[in-house]
Amino acid sequence: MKFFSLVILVGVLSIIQAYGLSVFGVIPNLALVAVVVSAFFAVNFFEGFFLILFSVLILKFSSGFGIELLVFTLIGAVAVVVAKLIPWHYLVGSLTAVIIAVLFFYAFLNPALILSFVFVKELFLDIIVSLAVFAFLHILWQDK
Amino acid sequence: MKRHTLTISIIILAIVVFFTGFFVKKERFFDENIQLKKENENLKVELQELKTGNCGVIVLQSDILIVKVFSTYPFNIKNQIVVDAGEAQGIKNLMPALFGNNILLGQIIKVSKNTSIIQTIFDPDWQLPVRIGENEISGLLQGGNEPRITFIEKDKPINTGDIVYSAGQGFPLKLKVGEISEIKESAPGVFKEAVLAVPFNIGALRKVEILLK
Repeated sequence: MKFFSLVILVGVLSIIQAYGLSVFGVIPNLALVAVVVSAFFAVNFFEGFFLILFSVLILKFSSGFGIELLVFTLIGAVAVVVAKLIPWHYLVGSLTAVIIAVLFFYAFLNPALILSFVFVKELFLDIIVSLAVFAFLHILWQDK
Repeated sequence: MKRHTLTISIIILAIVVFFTGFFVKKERFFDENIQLKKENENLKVELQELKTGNCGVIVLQSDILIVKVFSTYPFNIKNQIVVDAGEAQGIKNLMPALFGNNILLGQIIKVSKNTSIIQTIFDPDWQLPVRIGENEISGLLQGGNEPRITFIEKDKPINTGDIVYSAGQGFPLKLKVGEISEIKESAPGVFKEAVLAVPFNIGALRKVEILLK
């Protein structure tokens, strides 16, 4: 049931992402946030990798497998592995992971944008979304 | 367990509501609104030409192919849209894409048999030489979430509301791109910058026009 919740969460946020929802002209990376935060709640690597592939399937933008989705998959995969290794509290760990994931996403695809206001605004939105996602999953996981 | 089930139910309900006819009805008004905006923009361009006697580009309806938008690119890194026409419908690489008949939206960058990808002016990699206002002051349109006009000489007078026209090769000369919404005199060096306002929301577009000739 908990894994099903992760699938629903990643699915919903990826669908919203695929629709290109923008907030004040900036598109938050909801799918990446969902995948990275979920990696901290997934029971094993298999669940984490499944969520990444599920998200990529929804996000698939056009024919072929674009470099953006390849980077997305790689960053997600690294997050899944790292989530099981870092010793920090889950909230600190997932927030740090989201910030690093967004930074790497831009660094791989368009490093020049890291110094722009767009990046700062997106990072801010991503942090807010990741806090909401973390709170949501934390409540679910507390439920016995 | 109850809380768990309740939360899942809310999410499923949200998905069901999102995909029901409730939003379809809204979308129809939305499409009509965009259509009216296009007509309004076309009229504004014609009025501007009559006022100033400054004849811009005249796009014939027969040179236009109206295509539907499949999807928008879902990240900030690029801003592209996929449309439902390709080689089979006569679309070729580098053809200009328009909003209405007179406003530049982007350019075809990839053509398949029945689909094409348009790179829009919101793409951070987009650059285009432009001219501003009646005095035809030169600048460079730099794409992005907030498109800007850069390399405007500081001593050249521009005002908010001035119309920005295309001046780059590969596009009809004097095709409207947008209007100046803010001027940044404080930019370093001998140049100033301006923010470009466009009359459309890229995420809301359902149909765009491709200039075939």
